[in-house]
Amino acid sequence: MLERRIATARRPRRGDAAEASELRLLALVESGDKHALAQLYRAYFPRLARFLDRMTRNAGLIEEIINDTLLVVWQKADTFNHSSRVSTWIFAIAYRKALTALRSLDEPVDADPDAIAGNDSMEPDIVLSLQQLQYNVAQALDALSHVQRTVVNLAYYHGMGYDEIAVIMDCPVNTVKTRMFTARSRLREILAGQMENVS
Amino acid sequence: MNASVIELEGSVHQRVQKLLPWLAAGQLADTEEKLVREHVKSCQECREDLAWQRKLRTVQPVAGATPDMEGALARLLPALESRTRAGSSGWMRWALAAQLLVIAGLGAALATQQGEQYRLLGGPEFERPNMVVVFRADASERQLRGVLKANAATVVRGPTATNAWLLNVPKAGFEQALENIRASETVTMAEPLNGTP
Repeated sequence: MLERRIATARRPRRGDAAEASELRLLALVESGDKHALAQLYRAYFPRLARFLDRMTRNAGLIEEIINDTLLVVWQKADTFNHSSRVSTWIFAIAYRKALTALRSLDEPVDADPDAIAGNDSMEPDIVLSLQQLQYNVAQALDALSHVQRTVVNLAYYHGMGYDEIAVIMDCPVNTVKTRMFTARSRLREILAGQMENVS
Repeated sequence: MNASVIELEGSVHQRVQKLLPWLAAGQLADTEEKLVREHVKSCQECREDLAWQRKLRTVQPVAGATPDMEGALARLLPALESRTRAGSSGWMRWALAAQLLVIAGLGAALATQQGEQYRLLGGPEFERPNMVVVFRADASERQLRGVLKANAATVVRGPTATNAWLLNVPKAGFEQALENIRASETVTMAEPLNGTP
């Protein structure tokens, strides 16, 4: 049962047709079409909200960051240079906006790596419901540094390649790979024994 | 000799270890995917690691409260000032990109277009892209050129990150050109970039 429910959560990869559709919308946005911007907004809102949810739990702040991001898309659509996917460009704007917002509010962007130790609900050998497992995974991600968490989030849950993540986070590709390697070692420690029922 | 072999195998293992997450996510280029899959066949540690990562990917971490999308959009819309078409900065960028592209491909074009009259770049004929096209992966440069010439299309930019090409097609006959390009066996997708060309 758990396996079947989890399997439905898998996300299909985005293809060329989706990218072409977004390029078309962006061209319309560049020409001043507010309806196209609204279409792009609705397409990206859920994805960006999910992405930003791993950076802050403040729903009001998430909305503000998304609106700031799409405002930049509206104002700067003509600067998109096609060296990346549209999604990479938009996520990069959102990431920068999020870092700026979190710093300005003095919200911590790095969690204490040991904060999760000693949480009884994270002990192995407990039969976990999907909901509990999702909660534990969220807790484990929160235990990572924000840069590690962002890499894991983008790679596992947004299907981004390491080169796309490097663009979004404005860092070298090797840094992305190393952050991912360190992050998943830490995740395996934290989530030890909890994935047996997942297929 | 043995030491160097061990070191080589070790470096492949380490490289694969860093690429495993993107195999799990289906995001590796063909050559890297081949390397990783070959190694995984003979490495128990990587096989187990890959299986664990695939499991983790299927568990979406629990999310916090999601903001109201329509409410948020309604708050954004008044902040969008009315704009006319993009100004000269956008035009300049397209023009420069097109010039770079054409310079890069000029050698090949010259070899096959002797005797033809060349259009000047940056002149009044230069337009913005109004069509996005994806050619088949095995399409040859000659086939690509044939599609462009048959429809009086010019490349403004390409290939993009998704292997698409941004073309300018004359407004007169745009719909027919779109139909022709879509019908070409070397094209997998063609879409207009604006509502009107």
